[in-house]
Amino acid sequence: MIVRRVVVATAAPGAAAALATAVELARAMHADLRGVFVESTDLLALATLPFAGEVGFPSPGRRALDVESMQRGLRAQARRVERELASVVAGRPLRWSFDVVRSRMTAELFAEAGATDLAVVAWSRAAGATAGLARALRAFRGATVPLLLVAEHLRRPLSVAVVPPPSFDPAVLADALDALWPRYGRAALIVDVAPASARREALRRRVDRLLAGRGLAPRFRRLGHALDLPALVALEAPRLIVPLIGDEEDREAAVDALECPVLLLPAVRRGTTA
Amino acid sequence: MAAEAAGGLPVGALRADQLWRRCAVEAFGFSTTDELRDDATILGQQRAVEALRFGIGIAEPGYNLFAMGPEGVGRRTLARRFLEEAAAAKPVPRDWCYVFNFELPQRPRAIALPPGRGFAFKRDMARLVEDLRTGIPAAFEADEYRTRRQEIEGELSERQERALGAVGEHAAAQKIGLLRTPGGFGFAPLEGDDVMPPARFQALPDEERKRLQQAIETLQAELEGVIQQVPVWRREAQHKLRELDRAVTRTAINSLIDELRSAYAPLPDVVRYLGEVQEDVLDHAQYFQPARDGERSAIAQMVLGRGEAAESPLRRYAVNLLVDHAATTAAPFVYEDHPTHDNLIGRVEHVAHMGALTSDFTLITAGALHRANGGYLMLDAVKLLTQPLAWDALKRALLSGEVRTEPLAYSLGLLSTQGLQPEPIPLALKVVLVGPRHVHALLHAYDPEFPKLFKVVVDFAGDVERTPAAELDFAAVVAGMARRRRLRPFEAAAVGRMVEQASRAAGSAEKLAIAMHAALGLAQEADYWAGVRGRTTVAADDVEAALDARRRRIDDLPTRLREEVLRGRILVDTGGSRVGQANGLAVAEIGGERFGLPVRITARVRMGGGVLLDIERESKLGGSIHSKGVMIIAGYLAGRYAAGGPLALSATLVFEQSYGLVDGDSASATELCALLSALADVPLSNAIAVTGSVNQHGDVQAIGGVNEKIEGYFDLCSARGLAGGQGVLIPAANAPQLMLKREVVEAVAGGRFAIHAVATVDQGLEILTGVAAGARDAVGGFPRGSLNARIEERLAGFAERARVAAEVPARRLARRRRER
Repeated sequence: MIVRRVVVATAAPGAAAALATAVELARAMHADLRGVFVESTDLLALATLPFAGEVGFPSPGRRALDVESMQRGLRAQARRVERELASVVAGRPLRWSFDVVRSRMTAELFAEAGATDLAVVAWSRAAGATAGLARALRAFRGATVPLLLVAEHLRRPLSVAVVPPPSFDPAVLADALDALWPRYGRAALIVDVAPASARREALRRRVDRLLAGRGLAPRFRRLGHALDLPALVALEAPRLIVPLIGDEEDREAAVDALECPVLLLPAVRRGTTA
Repeated sequence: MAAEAAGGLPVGALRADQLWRRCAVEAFGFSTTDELRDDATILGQQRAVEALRFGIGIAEPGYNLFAMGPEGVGRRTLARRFLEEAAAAKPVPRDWCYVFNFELPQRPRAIALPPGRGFAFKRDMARLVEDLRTGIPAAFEADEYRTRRQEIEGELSERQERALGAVGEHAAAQKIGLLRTPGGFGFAPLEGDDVMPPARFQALPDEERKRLQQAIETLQAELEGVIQQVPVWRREAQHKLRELDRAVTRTAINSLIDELRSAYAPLPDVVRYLGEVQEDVLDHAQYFQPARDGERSAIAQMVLGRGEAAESPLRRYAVNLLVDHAATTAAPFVYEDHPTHDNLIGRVEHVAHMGALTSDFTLITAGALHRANGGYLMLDAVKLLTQPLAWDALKRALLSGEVRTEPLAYSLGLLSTQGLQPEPIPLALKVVLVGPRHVHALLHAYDPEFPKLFKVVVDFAGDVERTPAAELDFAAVVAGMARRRRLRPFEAAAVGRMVEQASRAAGSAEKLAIAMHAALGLAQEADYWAGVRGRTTVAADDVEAALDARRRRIDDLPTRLREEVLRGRILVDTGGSRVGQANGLAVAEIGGERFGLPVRITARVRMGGGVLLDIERESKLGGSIHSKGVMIIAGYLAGRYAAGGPLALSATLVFEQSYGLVDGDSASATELCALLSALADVPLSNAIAVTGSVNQHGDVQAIGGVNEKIEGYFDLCSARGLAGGQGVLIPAANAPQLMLKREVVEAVAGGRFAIHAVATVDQGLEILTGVAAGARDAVGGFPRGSLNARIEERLAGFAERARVAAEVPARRLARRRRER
């Protein structure tokens, strides 16, 4: 996987972990960094409703909303995100830019993403259904670029999870691990989260061969259920964890449970690959 | 030759041996001072020594000492010697520290420790902070802490998420989405995953739109309820986190504090303080955490310069060792040379931080009272009294028995900002003030608290009776000076010359001045001259050379004045005679050396109304004492010559060519002689200068500066050439004080100059006029032709003329009445 640009997108300030991880990856992969603040079209649509309003947080209280006030609020948020990104980049040898786009977040990113892009998206458990993880995962189905999901509540993520789709091209996984290995590969762990079968064994051997061919030697584990992943991570403390999950629902549960950024790999490679 | 007046005083022309009392060096029994033991002889201060011993010995409050007396008699030296001896016999007092007051930060707490333990306490607290700096972060880095903290944070986060999630699910069930807006959350109808476009919403049936609106309002109310709970949950989480932090910190600090507690168990104040430190650290564990990028760690701030570290939170655990007796073996003796308010009671210093002046307990510095606490403090009274509020501060400390360090600006009410108010420190010391007598008298008269606080007067004498034993003591003092100051040994004759000089300085041949700094100065200068001459010992002529050189150094003004006389610009005759004109003698002082100046005094008389006009007073150049002297003359005239009738005299008296203030009554005898000469119309000899004061009976009384006056006139006469008839007429009472310089003594011995001692004005007039004064006979008259007869006749003539002059208008008035 050749990454020439890391695109980090957020719809609100405070996504420090997403910004920091994007900066780290951009540096590690010698890629450019593009920050994107997404002015959500959903929010603008909300503001046009005749009874549009918001409940303040953390100070409770109802306020009427209109398009202008919503736009002012979004512009202020965009400025804050740009400042946050600038402060994370400060002092690092990194070429970066910042844009504001009006879109539904993931759709915009995936539409814009090039073959050598890595998308980084901040998500929040408390953000409601329209910005939540499930929506991001649904939008990602069929994507052809890798997507790194970073929960807003993370503080200092030290490890990364790489999650391929239920049916994936092992070469795509090998490309991704190859790219991440210099930074995270010292304690890499591949976990097969599926009942043992000849088919799974064959898949594992194929992955093993591909990685061995690139000089990568991760440990292998087998796990009965995706929800047990956090316990395994706490026990073995890998820097790079690769859960091979056969079920889409389990995949979503695993992404939610893992307390680290999660790199979702596309099912197939698009365009140029390593 | 001199006869004897009443009281054994010599009267008449004095012999040369009466002008100078030689020191009998042959009785010393040593050849140089090297042979004398340096036994710290105290010369003539038995009264002071007794008072010092009493004042130092008595332990009652208020028995502080005031050492008074002339400058240079050894008040400080002697007091210091006794105080140091007393301090050496007393135990070392306690150390004092200031520490942070955790309850009242503006009021630093004072803690006393056994001598020498203050430094150990300071060091132990610094080590405690250092140990905590590593121990506390280590405790917080443990997995157990991290896990428990994450549990608490996760619990809060999950609680919020669950509550918000529940609202979101309620919304989703009604096809309504929960969206995060820039200022909070909003609800919008959904179409699939997306918010329903406005056009689609408008196209909905009214009922559906109303249903959605109502549902959204219900959801908003539910969400509000959830959000209102969030601060409560957060406080609960913060409380749990705080308790967790305290528990973790406790494990790190307990053993360290317990160790210190047992080490300082006998010191309850320290143990109490350690308990407060423990509680404070539990609440402020973050102070000990390592700094994040770009921050300066708390420990770094603690060891950096004060200006940079003013905000260091760890300084609250420092110990300000105010008084440290680790290196002392006795009670302190402190001499504070600059007794300002702050130097006495200590000061609270400030540092500039972010453009403002800040302070804390570590910036409290000790004053002399702190340092001398438990011992003795010596201060110069004049310096103390000239420093603003220093005297008040000292009194307040002595009266209250504690020293309270308070900035001067607060005492004056100049600062209204909140400042440190350190706890006062109990005070137990003895204060010795050193000052002149008049300062003692002023304090006694005007400060009612002074007698309560300084009950012991140590009165230092300015001179001592000149006995052989005193002369030998003086020699021992010179020996001590020479040894301590590394001067050459003094030969016996040199010591004798110094004794003679001390006698002259005392203003009496019968006394020895004990101004030790003057004696030391003369000894050092004589040593210099001995060095110039390449000698290994100081000889008498070295002392003489030192005295000559000293005189020469300040001889410019006397020389110039003498030149003015010699050139005739100032009229002073040293020969001949004139009616109503006499030579008086004044004294001036330059640089501690005095010299005499002759001055012409004249008197004119005429008939008048009994007025004696003092021109000096009329021109406001006469001082009050001089005026008093002139009034005494008037009383003498009236009483002696006009007791039975009016004093029809009008006379004027003047110091000729005097343009400055004239004061003192030492010229009143001269003025009277001039006046009587004018009345008698008999000329006075101008070869003889006159000095002395008179009373209303015509007795001539003692005056000051007799030696200098005689020498001043002698110098003028010498410059003109001594003709043999010149001399000075002095009060007989001054004769025993004469310690005249060698040239005068030699001139008198050679008959070229004379010193006449007189007891009455009549004796003086006879010497000055060569005419008998005359005494009243049995019928009350003076012998014909005598001075007094002439005076009386002149005054009677004035009276008669005055009577006639007064009768003419009366007769005219009577004639007019008759004519009417």
